[in-house]
Amino acid sequence: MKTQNMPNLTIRLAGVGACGSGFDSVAHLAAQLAIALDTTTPVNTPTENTLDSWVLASVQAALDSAQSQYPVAVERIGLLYLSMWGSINQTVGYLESMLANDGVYASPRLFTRSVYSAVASQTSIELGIHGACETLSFANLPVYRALQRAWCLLATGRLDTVITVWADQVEAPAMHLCERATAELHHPELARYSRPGGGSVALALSRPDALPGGLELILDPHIHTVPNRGKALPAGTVAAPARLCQSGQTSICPSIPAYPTDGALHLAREIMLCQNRWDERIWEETAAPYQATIQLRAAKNAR
Amino acid sequence: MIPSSGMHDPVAVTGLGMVTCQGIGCQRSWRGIANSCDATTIWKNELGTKAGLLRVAAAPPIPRPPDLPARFWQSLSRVQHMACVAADEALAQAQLPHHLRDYHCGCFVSTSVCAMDCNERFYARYRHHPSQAPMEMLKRVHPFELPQLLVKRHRISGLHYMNLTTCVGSAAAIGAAIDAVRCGLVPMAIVGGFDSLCHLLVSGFASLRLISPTTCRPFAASRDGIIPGEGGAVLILEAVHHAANRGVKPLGYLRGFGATADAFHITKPEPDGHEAERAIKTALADAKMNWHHIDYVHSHGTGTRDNDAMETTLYQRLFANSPVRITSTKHLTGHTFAASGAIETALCLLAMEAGIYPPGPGPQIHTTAAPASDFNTALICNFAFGGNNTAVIASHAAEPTA
Repeated sequence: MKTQNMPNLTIRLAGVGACGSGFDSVAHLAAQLAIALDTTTPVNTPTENTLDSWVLASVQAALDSAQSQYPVAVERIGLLYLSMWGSINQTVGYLESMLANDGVYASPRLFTRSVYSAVASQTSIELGIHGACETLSFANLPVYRALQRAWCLLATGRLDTVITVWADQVEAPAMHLCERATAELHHPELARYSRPGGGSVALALSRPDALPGGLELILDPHIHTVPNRGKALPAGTVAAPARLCQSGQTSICPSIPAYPTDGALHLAREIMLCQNRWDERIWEETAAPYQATIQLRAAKNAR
Repeated sequence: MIPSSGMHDPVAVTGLGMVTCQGIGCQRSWRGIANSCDATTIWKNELGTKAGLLRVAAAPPIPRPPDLPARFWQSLSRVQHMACVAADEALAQAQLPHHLRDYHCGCFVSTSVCAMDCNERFYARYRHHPSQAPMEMLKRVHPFELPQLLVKRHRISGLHYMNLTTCVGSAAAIGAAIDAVRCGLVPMAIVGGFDSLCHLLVSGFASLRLISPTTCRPFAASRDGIIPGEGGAVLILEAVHHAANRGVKPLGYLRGFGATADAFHITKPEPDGHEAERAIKTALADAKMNWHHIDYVHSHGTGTRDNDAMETTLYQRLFANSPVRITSTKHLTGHTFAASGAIETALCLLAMEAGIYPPGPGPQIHTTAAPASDFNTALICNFAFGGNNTAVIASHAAEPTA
């Protein structure tokens, strides 16, 4: 069983949702991105518990879009949630309540909210999602690997719709820790996290045969190893389309500083451009030494 | 393109590794559990918080593998220590080399607290003297450092997957690995779950008044909570033909998996267990099996009022007067949170090999268990915060027996 013989992994995009610091919808994000590509946009510092509300809003938008196109039974919808920092504010809040006053007032509410999977659970409760809800974390390629898991859930017939959501919220003390880690541990990549802000990007995904039209995401099953920094291997087995886009190098929206959400935002931008122009694109996710490729293509019967 | 065949094939288990409060290694753990040894101890509260005098199921100190330098070993978190020794044991049993670069192996793991033991020590210093807290302690801060350690140490080149869905985490990792093998994304996978005791976890469950002040009594009328535990297990999963080509005899097979969400409450299970029932039915359909194939159910059986009440209602509806044995072993291992699914699946495979049912209390419902010598198929159920439900079906023989 060699993956060299694996076909490309195709999934159908059924909806996109986005919400975060500085934008509250996909349309707003699109406008924001058009500006953010060249200029700096002011950032609203998020308030407490905004991560939950960002995730809820983006998942709701993606789900609404999917449900407007085809019937979706709630027990056949699943949720994949990825975050770098998770509910760090709640964790720090709980640690404070545990350490202050000898722990006499350790807060049960903050404890349950500090759990990494609490955001996904809360979202499933709010939206009545009864399929599998997985909280995931990947050291690299968080967009590609999450989409690969979504493909697996759809291909095995476990679910009809998978909402994949990437979300992050960065504020003190995470910012302060990243600043120090950047300087003292010589991790320059952590500098990307030491800015306040955050947001959530959600994609509703289905099997290719679930929808009459729309956009297909075609995952190259081969993850390439980049031998030298900055010198990527060719894009692999995917036929060369019109455009080649890369992520992992720069943040495109100043109000989304954190991994993995900035990667998802890169992909969301390409999706929006692809939908507007009905062209084909290859999107590369790069996290040295790995590189993965996703082709964006209008479904044949949508033309 | 979507593969259309092999989506219900069993997946072979060719290696097991385990760390529990009963000991390091499968045999020590199994011996302690089979003999119903009480291995709980008093929680050492190093941070001095007033969590009270609590009993926990702590694993013994983990010996350093010879290939890892002492200084590097000391920098790792406890879950990483457990992952190293459990993976070594499982790889040896599966007759696999230390380095897996040539096998296109996947890595599917889970934890709920990860390096919280390191993080909370860091934070206890950071909150008083932010600039003096040693940043070195934060090197293991993120959960994905756990699979990264296994990936780097064993040169794993296939899929990586890290699940953080609390008490169903490793069961979900098992499900994801089954899917990946069936889809042909990887021919084999290291799968595991690990969790260690830490102040956040013990204090958190104490704040919810879910820790028993005495002992864990699953399904008893007098039950009053969990005993927090630590441990982990590793399973080597392979496509059946891949194991056959390597000439390795499987220890057992994983036949089905199901996962659902209650969408009910952030901590409490849905009282009637309807979504838990759907997870079980999904696993049975995935395995192409019927109720009468199930010989034994390893219940989640935490000893909390809400979970055990839900499970009793569930099993009464599904298994009353059926030839099935239902028990929980959490009074012997403690509640090992994200590691539960992997540990309990491994225990069931060891029990089927030994021809005895895992000991422990079960719900008060009438069942007529088959002789243990016929024990061939186990259903392992796990339930988590947020209403996450999983069911795994494991069997000893390649073919199910009615």
